[in-house]
Amino acid sequence: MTAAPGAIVRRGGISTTIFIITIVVVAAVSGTVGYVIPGLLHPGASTYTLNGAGSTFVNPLLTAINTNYTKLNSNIQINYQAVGSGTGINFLGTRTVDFGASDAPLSNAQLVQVPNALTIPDTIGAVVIAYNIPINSTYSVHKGLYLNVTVAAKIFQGDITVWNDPAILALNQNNPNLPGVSLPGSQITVVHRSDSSGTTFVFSGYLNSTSVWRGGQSKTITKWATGSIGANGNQGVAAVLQGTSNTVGYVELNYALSTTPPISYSFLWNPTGNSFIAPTLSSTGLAATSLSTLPSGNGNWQSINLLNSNNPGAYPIVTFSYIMVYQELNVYGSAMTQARAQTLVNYLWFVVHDGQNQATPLSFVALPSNVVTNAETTIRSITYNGSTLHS
Amino acid sequence: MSVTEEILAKESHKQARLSQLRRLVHPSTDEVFEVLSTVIACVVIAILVLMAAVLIRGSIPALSNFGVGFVTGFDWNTIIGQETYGVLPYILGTLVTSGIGIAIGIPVSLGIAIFLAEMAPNSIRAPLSQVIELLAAVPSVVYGFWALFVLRFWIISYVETPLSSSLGSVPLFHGSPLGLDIMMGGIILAIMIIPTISAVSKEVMMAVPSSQREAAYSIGATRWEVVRMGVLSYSRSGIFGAAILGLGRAVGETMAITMVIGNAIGPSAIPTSLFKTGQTMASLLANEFNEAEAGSLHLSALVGVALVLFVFALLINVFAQLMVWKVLKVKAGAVD
Amino acid sequence: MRRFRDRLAYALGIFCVIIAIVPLASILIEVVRNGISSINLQFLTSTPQSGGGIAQAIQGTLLLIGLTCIIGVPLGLVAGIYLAEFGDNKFGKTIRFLNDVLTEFPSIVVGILVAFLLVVATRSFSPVAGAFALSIIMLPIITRTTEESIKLVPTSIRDAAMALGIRRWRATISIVLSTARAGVVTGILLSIARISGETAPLLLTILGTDFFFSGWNQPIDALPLRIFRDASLPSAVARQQAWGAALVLILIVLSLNLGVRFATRGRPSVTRSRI
Repeated sequence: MTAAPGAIVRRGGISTTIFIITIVVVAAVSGTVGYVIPGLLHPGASTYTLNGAGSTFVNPLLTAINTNYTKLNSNIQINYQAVGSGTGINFLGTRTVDFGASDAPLSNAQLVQVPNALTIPDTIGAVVIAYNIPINSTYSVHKGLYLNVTVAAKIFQGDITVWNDPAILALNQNNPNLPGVSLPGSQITVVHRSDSSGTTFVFSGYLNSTSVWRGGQSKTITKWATGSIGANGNQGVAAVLQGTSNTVGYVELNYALSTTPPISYSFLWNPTGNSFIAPTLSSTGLAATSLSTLPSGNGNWQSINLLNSNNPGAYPIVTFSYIMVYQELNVYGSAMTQARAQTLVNYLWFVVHDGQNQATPLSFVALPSNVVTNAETTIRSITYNGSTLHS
Repeated sequence: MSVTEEILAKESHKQARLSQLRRLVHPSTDEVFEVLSTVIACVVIAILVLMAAVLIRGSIPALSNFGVGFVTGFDWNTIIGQETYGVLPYILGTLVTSGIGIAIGIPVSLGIAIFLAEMAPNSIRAPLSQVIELLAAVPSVVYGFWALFVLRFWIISYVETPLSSSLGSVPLFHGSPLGLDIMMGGIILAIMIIPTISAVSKEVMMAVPSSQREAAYSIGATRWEVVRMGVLSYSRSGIFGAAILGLGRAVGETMAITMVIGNAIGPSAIPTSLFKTGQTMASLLANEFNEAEAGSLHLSALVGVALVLFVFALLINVFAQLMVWKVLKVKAGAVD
Repeated sequence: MRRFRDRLAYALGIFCVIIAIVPLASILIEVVRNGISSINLQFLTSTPQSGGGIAQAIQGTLLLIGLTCIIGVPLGLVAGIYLAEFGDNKFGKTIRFLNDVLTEFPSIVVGILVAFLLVVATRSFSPVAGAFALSIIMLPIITRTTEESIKLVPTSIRDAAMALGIRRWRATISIVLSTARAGVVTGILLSIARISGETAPLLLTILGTDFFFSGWNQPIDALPLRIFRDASLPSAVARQQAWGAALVLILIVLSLNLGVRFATRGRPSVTRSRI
């Protein structure tokens, strides 16, 4: 393949090569600089990074706790990735993270996949049914739509398809939260979690308490209404609700409150108290008072359930969120050292004690003292090479 | 033969054998170079084979459990005790969104290619081609991001809502036009494959010998007629190959599609309407792969989906390459 | 009538070009418009925890580029040399064909391959796993552009080297390759632009993080991963971060692309369409 002789003579060839080489050198240098500088800023101190992954439900709280923890312990970084409860426990099972977070207790399959894992409650929170119902160009329905579990189940599986369905109207005839509002006849679009989600587990558990619901209880439901939108994480559902009209979905309370503007959510029927309950810090906390005894950390937590509490003032969809860790930390092999194990245990102790101070401002319920005691026993049982790490 | 000649013959045999051995033990650097580079070039083969092996091994549990039903079923239930996995909705989702993509993409790309190859004045041909090729440089996740926050609302206002209000009773247009649906997926795919199809088509057209064009001009044809008579019929298979290449790109696209497709699961993912949420094989993998427990049937089913996608991509790409190579055989390394 | 059809075809051609250019312009305008307000020194040098920035994602992307080049460039160069020098037989044709097939392969499948082989086996997310996945995507591009660049070198150069008694391998490496180096470097830079925007394989291999690089078996972050995660967040602050990250990524990708095209203008181009 012969090119013209002129091709051999490279006009401006040197400057081209220099230009290209310069770009590459600049990239390499900046990469190295970026790598080196953080190490230079903290000379002498060894930085520990703990990796965790899981629940988006508890993410607002864990983020606040972790930021605070790093402020108090500048050589410890907590890298928590909110990838969803299912993925988090999966990563714990493949031992690619130090701890996992899930709103659903370990299932039978997971108890096998993640042997000798401990369950530590880290908070109590509420799942709300949130919606975006525009009435006209300036007004959307505010919070306080009245719903009960049967109507909710019908909406989410597609039996009820419009807002002004008789069943919804019947519940809202004398709703003081919606004065003079007539619900429109627009099509309802359901928003659900596309990822394996502890929040879905909790919400479907609530829906499952009526025989009308066909979808069962699980971290992934397949019987959502046709045409429903799947979003990733609590934050994804909140984003879709915020940006799309005539949608209804389920999110953890903090997500509904912290978007700007906040997303509207429903008040749910409590049969014991014969009234519609708003999801607030106090109504969520009341659900936790009906706790019977808790299992030990290495036990089976599947029977623990804060749904449909029979306290008359309690909000019906309330749940624990848990952190799961291995009981014996040497399963990580060379990736774990005595110092890292100690750091992990100290961090967990912090989460269930001082960390709880950050719960209330974020609309999470701080752990009651009996739960904290249970968590303490569990944390004390964590060992590295056989010896415990927290007295 | 005399004894001397015998001895001489044996001696030369020995020398020949020795020098052969010497070449094995001390090969010339040129030979080393050739062998080494051959081995390294085989990395490509190794990668494809490795992919096939890993995917086949991982999907055996699911395939043996469900057999043909895996490919023809449309239930997707991950609840332990009720597990069924069927890939059909996602295969259909991939085909429909890619189909929309090439249905919109081919005419537009062809128009661009014809314009650039045959009709544009020489001065703007090169810069304009560069600009179109920049479309291919934008990362997929930026496409998805832009589609989610900019294109989506434009499509809802000017395309989906008018279609829904006028043709809403037609099954193809059922459902609420929310912009997170199959139509949106098809449109973003079309935009992403336009640079691929148009660039290859342009190359194919420019490879047509000028004798074809000159013949048409000589009988007094207009520019368009020259294209139609002289160029298009000659480059038909190459353009077809370009379209298939675009299809291959569309089938493999992951991030942009995941952000706008709506993430439906199971029977709800069957694409019966343009305004329905859907799911492609690639977006399903992006969504669910990380959360499937190691060693579970769910993970095996997902690997099975990856295997189906692998086979699709392989077949499409091989077919496309065959078509394009036939036309461009002479022009490997051609000047733009 | 015939002239009308001719004019119509011309107009339709221009119309199609406009249809293609409008999205490109819109993307660039929107990314710049929304992202420019985020870009300041703090954004570029601090992490989300310490200052609401994306520095760890920029560092991660640069680190991945570096690692990927270390793995992919030598392999691609040698494979490209093979195809150019020895690849005229049936075997070489097969390799060339398969190489082109691998070029636009679904990146999620590549991610799954590496996840199985590296992430599960080593029980850690790591930059190395991410780099291996990206190098599988980079390899076919570099192979092809290297081969084509070498083929553009006139045989007179090779003949001259032979006449001077230089061995073949020496001639290839020292003389032919350095003559072809503009094209080779072009290919490398374009493939860097391509892999810096890849997200799907990273989803499965690096996890993402809010902190700077902390170890070879620890997760890292990257710009496209950051954009993907932040884009789905309902908070306006996070979305703003995503626009800023998108702007940084677009700047990197476009400057690489435009830079090489500008630098190699007027020469025989090896930038074939399917990169």
